[in-house]
Amino acid sequence: MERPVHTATVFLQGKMFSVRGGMAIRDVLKHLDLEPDAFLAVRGDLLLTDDIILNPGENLRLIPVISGGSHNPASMHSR
Amino acid sequence: MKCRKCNQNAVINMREHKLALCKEHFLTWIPEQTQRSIETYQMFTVEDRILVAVSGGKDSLALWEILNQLGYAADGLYIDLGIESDGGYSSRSRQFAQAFANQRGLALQTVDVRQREGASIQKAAQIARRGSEKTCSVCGLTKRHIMNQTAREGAYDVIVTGHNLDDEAAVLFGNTLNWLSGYLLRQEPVLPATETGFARKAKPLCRLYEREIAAYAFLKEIEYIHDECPYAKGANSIFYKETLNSMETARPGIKLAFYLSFLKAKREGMFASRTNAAREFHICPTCGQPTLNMDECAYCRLWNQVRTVIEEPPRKP
Repeated sequence: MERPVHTATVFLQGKMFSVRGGMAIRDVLKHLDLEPDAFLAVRGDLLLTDDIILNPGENLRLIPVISGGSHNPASMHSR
Repeated sequence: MKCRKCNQNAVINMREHKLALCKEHFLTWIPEQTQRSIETYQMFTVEDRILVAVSGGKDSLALWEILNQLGYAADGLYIDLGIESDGGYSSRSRQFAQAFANQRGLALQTVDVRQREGASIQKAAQIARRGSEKTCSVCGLTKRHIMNQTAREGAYDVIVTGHNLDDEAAVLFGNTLNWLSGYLLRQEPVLPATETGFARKAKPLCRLYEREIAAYAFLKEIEYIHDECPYAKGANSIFYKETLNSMETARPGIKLAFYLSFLKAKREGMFASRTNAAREFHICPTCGQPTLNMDECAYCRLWNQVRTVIEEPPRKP
């Protein structure tokens, strides 16, 4: 007999995390200790708002949005 | 969550604006907001020839897409810095920029630093003994110089970059923590052209959150390099962005308010131009570009030093 699935899967930068199904995306981000402003949440080709519930067995992809790293950040904002 | 305009399912909730939008309305909202910044800060008009500095990342490619959508005549400039670590970072970035231009029939000019100056950015940083962390300063100096020279030689009216609100807020945060008055004075959405030879520079995405640009790029199916520059690991700017993001979570809108209040304070006379009076530019005798140095500019000095070391015959044991 197959065991019921209670978890959903989150993919982030080549890593995979199992989280409890039935959580809202904002709670998934909190659970993984991630800032909501730093990620997009995507299921298939759909961009999702953070109130959407991630059901058991579903997959969610988190896309980091931060870029533009520099040890001398002011230099490109000047002459 | 529903779109405020049409009640369809929202794809993004912008808590800073108390605004949730569906795909269709969000893809209209982003160009509208960009146009608003272009007009508010008098960045350029449809009459101007625009040079977009593209890196292969989401912000610059999204900006090029938006300008194209808004009907501006904008060509691209990609500067290949020769960073080959992390699986050929520069080559991969260049491929994204080139593919984007090809798919849309846009003109992309590429400047290869190794072909032009004889060495990559990391080689130059090693020779100039600036250390691995200072590769960023060699990179910034080189990009600023090549961007300005390309704009002048190509008779472009303005150089535009994809700096978003998070970039601006992070730079402002860093400059404020360190009280870098000169940088604070010069941080603007648009810097005018000067008689000494600086081209006008503008940042049309300066009021849009990084997350909004990423969402726009995703929804427009723009392919871009997701990896960060290998030299950016542990960078101050990333730390500042993460710090500001944790503040934004607790207080939505704080990044936008921080940046806009700064611009307002400047307009009202904060950061008086005393520090600016000392900045007298001269013309570099080697390249003809403006410089604060009395003789060669920092760019020519750096790359002359690099070439001298590269061309030096190896010492006998």
